[in-house]
Amino acid sequence: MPELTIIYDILAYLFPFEFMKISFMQRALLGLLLIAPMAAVMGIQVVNFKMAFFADAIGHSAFTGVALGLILGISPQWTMPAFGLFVGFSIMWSQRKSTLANDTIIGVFFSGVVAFGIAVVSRNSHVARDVQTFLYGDILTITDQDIWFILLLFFILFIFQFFAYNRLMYLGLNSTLAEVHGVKVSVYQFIFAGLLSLVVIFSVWAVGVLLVTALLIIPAASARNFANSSGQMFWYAIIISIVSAILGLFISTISSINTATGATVVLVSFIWYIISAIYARFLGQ
Amino acid sequence: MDNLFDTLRQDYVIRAMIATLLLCISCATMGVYVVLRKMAFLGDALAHTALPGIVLAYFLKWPLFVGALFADILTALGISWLAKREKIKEDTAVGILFSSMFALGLFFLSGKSVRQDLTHMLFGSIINVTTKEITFMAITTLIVISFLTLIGKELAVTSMTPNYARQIGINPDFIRTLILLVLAITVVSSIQLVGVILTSAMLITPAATAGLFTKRIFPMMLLSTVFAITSGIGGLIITCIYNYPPGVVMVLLATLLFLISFSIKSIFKRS
Repeated sequence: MPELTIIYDILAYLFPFEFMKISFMQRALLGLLLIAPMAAVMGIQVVNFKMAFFADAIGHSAFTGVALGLILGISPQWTMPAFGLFVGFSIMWSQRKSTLANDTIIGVFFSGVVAFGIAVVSRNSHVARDVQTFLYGDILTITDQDIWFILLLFFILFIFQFFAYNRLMYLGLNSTLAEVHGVKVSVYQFIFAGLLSLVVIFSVWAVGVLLVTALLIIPAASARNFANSSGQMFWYAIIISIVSAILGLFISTISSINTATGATVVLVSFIWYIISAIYARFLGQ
Repeated sequence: MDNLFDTLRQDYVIRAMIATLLLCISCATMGVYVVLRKMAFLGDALAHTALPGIVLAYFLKWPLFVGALFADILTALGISWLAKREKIKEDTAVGILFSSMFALGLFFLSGKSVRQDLTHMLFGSIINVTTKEITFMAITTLIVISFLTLIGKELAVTSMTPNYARQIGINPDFIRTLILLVLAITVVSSIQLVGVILTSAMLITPAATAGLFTKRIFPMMLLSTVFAITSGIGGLIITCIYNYPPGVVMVLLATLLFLISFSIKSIFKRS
């Protein structure tokens, strides 16, 4: 496995603080810098497609993914993303087949999956620590191997967005018209759902399941308040997410504050949202 | 088998049974409107935002459910306000508000050692249910049932055709706020029994299963209640035999019922 030292050196140079000399802080910062923009970009379409609940359900399935890994004796690193993908595709498939409202189907799957996870975990009391990680996130213990995973996903996702961003926007506006114009709607939807599932699973790692929705939606919603076009929205969402990630991490390490990193990142981005809402109200068009 | 019946006659099991029955009735009937009005995400969000309220109440030494109820009502009103006022979609409003509330809760909580109680709130404790909680649950059920019977027509009209409702002089927004408030009460009392994570399951899954078979409101409520009670009492009995958390088994049974119904529906549609 190649070394990431060059990137760490650059980060340490950019942020010349005392705590940035610690290696786990460097890894945490790099992890957040990769995950936050991914989540922000996917979040734009999550807002467009009204998929916030879908994302939330996938986030909760991460928990069951961990539990499955325990039963099968496979590292959660593999079972978590695999199970996330499985749940994502199952929901998409059932939504196409059934007459029930989309959100009802998500709700049913969501709670069934979580109940299954808890049933498994309740039999293995020693996994309590994993449950904590799942609830609150654990960006500070991320390893180099995880970073490589995330880096790979990062490139795949941005290549996909590079080609698909405008088409997905079109889809969000009017899927029938998009279909007529030769956009393969179902293919895009399935790829998008797959990528979203993976991003959500990695975000669970960073901020915990309860705050994943925030990491996805808040930068996109704030960007919408600032931006005049969908292209601007894309860049604003990325900038907002990165700034919140860095500020959140740094604030959480100040020894007099010392709060949970994930929660702090989300709170910083929520402040962004308030600023953007005020901006849209008083200064926007 | 004798052993099982002995267990079932225990005091705490009977209390748990009563609590489960009440819980199933109020959740299943409210759930029908949650499903029909596509408020599943909202129900889930209400279950989650109760938690910061509980944290606050814990620190202020209030009764926990007062904090939960307070937080839920605040969220319910906040979501309607955000969705109406800003140019964002409702599910985005729900997402923003509920995760921010939660972050706030965790932010205050970090470093304190109350996580034990929180885990308890996450998974609930129907076996250790107290008489006070049963009373609270009974009052909730009473509120839900009287709410559904007293303004049943208004509820049905606003759920099906909000524009028509407005024309005949019913304000859909007002009815919606009322539903949210009753939903908040239901959620808060269920949290004490089955926990944050599984409350939304008891709301949505039985109603969704019923929704596979009928779209008429009253039969849907009856079916939904039957499904809920089957999985609720079944779950409790299984819990007495095997040592699993009761809430979890209930939800798994409810999900199983849904999957079976879903398959039956698909097969019949094809033939």
